Amino acid sequence: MVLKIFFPQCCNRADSGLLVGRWISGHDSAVVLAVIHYPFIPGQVKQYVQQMQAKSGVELSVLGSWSLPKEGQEGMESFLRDLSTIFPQQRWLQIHREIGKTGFTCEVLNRDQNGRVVQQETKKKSKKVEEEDGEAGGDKEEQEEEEEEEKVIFVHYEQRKVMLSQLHPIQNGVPDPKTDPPSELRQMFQTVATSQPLFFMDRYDDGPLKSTHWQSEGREASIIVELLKQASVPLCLLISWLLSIWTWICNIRIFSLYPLRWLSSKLSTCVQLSYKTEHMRTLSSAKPAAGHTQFMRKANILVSFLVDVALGMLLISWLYRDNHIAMLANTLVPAADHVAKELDELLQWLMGAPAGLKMNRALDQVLGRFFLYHIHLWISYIHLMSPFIEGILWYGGLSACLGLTFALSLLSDMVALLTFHIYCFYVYGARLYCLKIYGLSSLWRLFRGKKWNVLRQRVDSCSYDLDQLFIGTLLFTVLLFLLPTTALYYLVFTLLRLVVVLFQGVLHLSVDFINSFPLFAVGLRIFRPYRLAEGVKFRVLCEEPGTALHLLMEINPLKFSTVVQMYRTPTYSCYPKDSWAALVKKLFVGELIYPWRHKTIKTE
Amino acid sequence: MSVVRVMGPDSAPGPAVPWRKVLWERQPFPDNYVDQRFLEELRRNEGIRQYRYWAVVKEAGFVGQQLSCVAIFITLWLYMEQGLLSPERLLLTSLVCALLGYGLHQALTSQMESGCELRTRLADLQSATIFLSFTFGFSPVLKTLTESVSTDTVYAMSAVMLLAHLVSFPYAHPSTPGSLSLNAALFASVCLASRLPGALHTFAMLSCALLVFAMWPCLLQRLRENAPSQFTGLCVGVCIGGVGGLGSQSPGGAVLLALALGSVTLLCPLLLVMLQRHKDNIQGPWDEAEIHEDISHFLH
Amino acid sequence: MGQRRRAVTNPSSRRVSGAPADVARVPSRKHNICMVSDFFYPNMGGVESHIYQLSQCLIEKGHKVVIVTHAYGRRKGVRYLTNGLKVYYLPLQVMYNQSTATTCFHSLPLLRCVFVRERITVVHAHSSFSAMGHDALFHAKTMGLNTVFTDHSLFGFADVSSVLTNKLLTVSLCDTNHIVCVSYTSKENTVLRAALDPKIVSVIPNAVDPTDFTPDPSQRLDDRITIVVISRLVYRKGIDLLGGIIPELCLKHPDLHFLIGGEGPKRIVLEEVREKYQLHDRVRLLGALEHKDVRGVLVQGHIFLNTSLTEAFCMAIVEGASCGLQVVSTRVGGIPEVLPNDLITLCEPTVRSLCAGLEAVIAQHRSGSVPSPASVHARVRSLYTWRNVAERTEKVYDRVSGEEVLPLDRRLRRLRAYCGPVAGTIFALFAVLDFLLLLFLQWLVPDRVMDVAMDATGPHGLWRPGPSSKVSGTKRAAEKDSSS
Repeated sequence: MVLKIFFPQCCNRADSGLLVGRWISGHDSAVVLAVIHYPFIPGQVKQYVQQMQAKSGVELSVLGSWSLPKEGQEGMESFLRDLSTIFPQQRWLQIHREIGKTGFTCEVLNRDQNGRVVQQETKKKSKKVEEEDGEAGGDKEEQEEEEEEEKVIFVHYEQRKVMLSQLHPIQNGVPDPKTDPPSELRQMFQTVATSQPLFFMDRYDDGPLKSTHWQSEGREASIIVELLKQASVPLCLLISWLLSIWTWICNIRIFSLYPLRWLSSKLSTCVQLSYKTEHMRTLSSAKPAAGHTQFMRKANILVSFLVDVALGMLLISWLYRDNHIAMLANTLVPAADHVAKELDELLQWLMGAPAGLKMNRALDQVLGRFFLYHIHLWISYIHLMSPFIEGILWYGGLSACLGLTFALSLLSDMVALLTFHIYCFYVYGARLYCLKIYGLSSLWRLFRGKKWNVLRQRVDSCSYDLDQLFIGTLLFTVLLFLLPTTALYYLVFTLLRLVVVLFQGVLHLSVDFINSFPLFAVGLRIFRPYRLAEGVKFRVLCEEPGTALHLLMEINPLKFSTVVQMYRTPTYSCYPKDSWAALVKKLFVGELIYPWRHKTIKTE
Repeated sequence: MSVVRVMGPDSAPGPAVPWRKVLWERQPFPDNYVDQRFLEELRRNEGIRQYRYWAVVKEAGFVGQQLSCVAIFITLWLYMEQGLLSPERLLLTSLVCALLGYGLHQALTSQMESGCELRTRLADLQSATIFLSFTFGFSPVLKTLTESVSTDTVYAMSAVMLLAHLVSFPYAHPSTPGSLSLNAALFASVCLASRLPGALHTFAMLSCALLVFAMWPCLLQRLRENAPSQFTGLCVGVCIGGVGGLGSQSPGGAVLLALALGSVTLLCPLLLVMLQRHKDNIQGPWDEAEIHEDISHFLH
Repeated sequence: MGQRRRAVTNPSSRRVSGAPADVARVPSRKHNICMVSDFFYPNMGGVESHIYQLSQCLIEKGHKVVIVTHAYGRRKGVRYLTNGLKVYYLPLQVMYNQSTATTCFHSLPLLRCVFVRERITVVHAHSSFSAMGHDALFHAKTMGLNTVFTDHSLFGFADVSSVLTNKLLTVSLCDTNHIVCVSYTSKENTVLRAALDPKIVSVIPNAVDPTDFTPDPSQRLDDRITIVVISRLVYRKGIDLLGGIIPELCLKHPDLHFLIGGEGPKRIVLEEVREKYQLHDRVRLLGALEHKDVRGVLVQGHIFLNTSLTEAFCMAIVEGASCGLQVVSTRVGGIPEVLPNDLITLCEPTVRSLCAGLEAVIAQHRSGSVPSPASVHARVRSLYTWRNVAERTEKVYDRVSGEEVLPLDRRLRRLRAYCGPVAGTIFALFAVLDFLLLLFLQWLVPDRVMDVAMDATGPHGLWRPGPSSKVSGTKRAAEKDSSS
């Protein structure tokens, strides 16, 4: 059996006294939290411990005694030993340190049922802690020593860091009694974190008891924090009042009509708006954040909101200087015209013999003329719009004060509206192609004498009638020979569509990035790496023969990738995406692809 | 392997009891013991069929006949393409043949009058109307269908499809033409018909294809069932017709066809009968049992 | 030449091939056995449990056993099971039905690594469906190791696929030292398929852990007769026959119930029968069962029905009988060899014959003339034990390890002679290439610089757990069973 004692580093040089801490249930280990100095009145110590226990909810107890003899303090040993009768414990630790020696010695007094104290001299023996890999193995002889006596390992920890750090993966709420109890390390972290009230007792307080533990050194800074907290309350109230008005407007009946609702779910500006509202609601809720995850979420949202607005302001300052808006508006219409002209030429090319492909002439002409007429319509629409474009841009630019994400969403919507003709072409082409593919696939089954059984979701063989076969084959032949023509139109328009979707995808990606990137958590990781702990590592401090093994526990910070993964604010890009294979399959079958529903063009 | 070692669980030598082919009993034999009765349940060539040459030739005649049918169809198409046969005349001939065939079919069906379901005349008429109207309606579309596709591609496709038709043709039960074979033949005829000069040509060619690939096998099956002696004669007749017809357009093709017919109907049966002697099929208790009963009646 | 070279570089192999006479004298020498198969846990099935149980019993007897299989999903690398049984999950590509793709060569580096590091003396491959097993046999011969192969299945001779697989089996087994089959029928089948000398084929049946399958008549309902069927619902298990039997018998006997465990494509047949005859309350389909749940289902029944169309050794009927059920089965494959005639009713694989057999057993039940479940269990429990299987397999290893491994030239001649001129030549070429690849690998990383793996039992078995270990305890119980 090995007894582990977690010992705070700040108590290394504490004066002799009592050790206050907790036995970790189910494991053979103890966490020392503080040292109460001599002199003290045992009754007061008991009262104090009970008080603290009620405040923090940790099963605090007096673990044993601590002695660091200074000049003129002889005879302390026996006194401290006698204390064990005053504080009845299953086990009594007696830790002793001598000036000039780095190691401690520890004696464990076991109390058996009769209340008799059984002393056990611990064997102070060095124990090798090796990386044991399955094949190298350790020395066997070492294990063959007597198992009875207890070895003690001191694990030194930095109390402040452990208190502030959050061990990952996070476990929220009350642990389920059915599941396994939390690991030893987790219990230790929890113990230190929850016994914060214990640490409030100041060195300079004039209480009846003096103790050593970690102590905050900057009370002045915390006053500012308190003031800020106070100030934030009316601000939150204001924001939530505004939000309630906004929600009321949104809930007016006219907005829940089908076409409007459908439209707003497709426009990324509206999506962004509702998304921001949701965030603000989270931020302005009066309740304090419950639990670490909730707190981090709020902090992340706040920081990314601030960054977002700052970037938006930067954009505004650029846009409204030197008349950039008018310049943009003046280039937009010729650009749209140019695109239309290019499309026109493309269609003319397709109506000939594109790339030497042999298309069905009749169908080719029909399709080509249809699309040409569409472009004609489109150009007149653009020209009708051209006087208003500058105004739209001017007012749209103002939206950037709500944040860069908002401006980007607006840009994405405008791109979608300006490339509506491409979208139309794509839909026509895709629908036609899809119809053909479906027809061909079912007719191909007929060709082989099979049919699709809907109930069993499989292909069954089937005997068709003669006339069914005849008509089926006739249609099959016709569709097969017309397929290349449709497929070519589909291919060209799909490529155009993909360019637009790619652009929109990049916009959405950057918006998502700004919204979901956990800036606060990353900052915390950079400046206070111990706050987010993934685990611990031990370093051997001293290994003198004759003393117990001393280990230093250092906190392993969480990896950056894990930080980002764990704390990113969930947005729609966090949902499972279509894979590339699924996208290609969709394109092949002729299903429509969209940038908003399925985040297909995400290149993460 | 000079040292013989006993490997069984019991190493008692000199077994007095006879070996049994059971696992549940510990026997005084090594595990790798080989008894006299090893492989005694092995059976060879169980239930093998002995073929007689002329009977096989007779059956193979049907294959030859189908081959000739394809040849006849190609011949007709060649005539049409070169303008030697007008579509009207082909249509007329087809109509007469169809009526004659239908009459014969009806006569043969009424002769046997078995319990199986009979199609009504109305259903037949309906089918005929559908065939004709669809073919007629689609023929202009079909005409332009393969315009831009090169002639070689069309020919290659037709050849492959006709071959698929011949390979997948259900020679055992041709009365219900297999989907794949019929579809392949129709696909080939649509390809070929679309190369003809006019829409009416296409229509005529497709009607003719329907007659040759869809109707003719049904009639032939009836003949095979009811009048086996005439059936043989008919097969020979069709073969001669096919060779002759093709010969009038391309003598080389006719020679090839004759060779193919000869090998299918005469040489292949000979090979089958000769090779039958070398057949060596092993059966034993390890074979997967076959379910001979018809289980499906429990379900339907 | 390769042998001599190896003998110099590898001290352990010198010990093996150098002193066969020594081996013959000491029958209880310990082997380092490598079980290779594509099928192992987490896959579940007969082969998997066979490998596991056999390995455990061999470890108990003091042999060293490692198992090599392919990676299952994220389970790759080395894992340890009970009693330090080491399993290598090699990162090889799975092709079809959990069987790896094989090119005859690409697995050599990994397998050589395992064989050398673990100082393997005998390679034991399982299941003819396992491409990895065949690969291992091939490479083991190239490396000069002795090989054993266990065949768990029967194959026909009629169709093209079996002709091809039989040819491959011929090649694979042509220089395998010894083959183990699970029944006499399986032996006949394997001897014919691979054109083997029957003397090198041993018959060692599978086993059932009798402590897992004990009767419990209190679970039975007395107002009815329950027929239990537990098998995968596939064609080969004769589920179509079952679909014919159910309505026939249920119409005659109103108190007859069916309890069907298992899953598969033929489930639809049973569902249709149940719907058509409205037997929902009398035919229960339990779906896929885990192995630990099987006993709970078996003890609810009176009669165990097996409708397989082919079977090398039917474990299911032994389990059924062990639970005290009356067994009715088709007379196919190795089934007639498995149980004595008074414990099993054998029928032809037809609906009529199976119905007649079942009716006879039902009549016996009604008249009360069936033996009690406890007496049936008592007879079955000692028939097939893993301890016995391990003993007999051990004898195979003893024999095999004394045999000489053919040097390359004789191996090539043998391949040419046994496998026909075409396949023989091709595989002789493969053997040469494999040998060259081995030489290349040995040049790259010589055997002597490869470190030797530590056993989970530590050096000289020092880490072996105390005698209170659970598995050895149950095994001792099994031993007691088999001796009584």
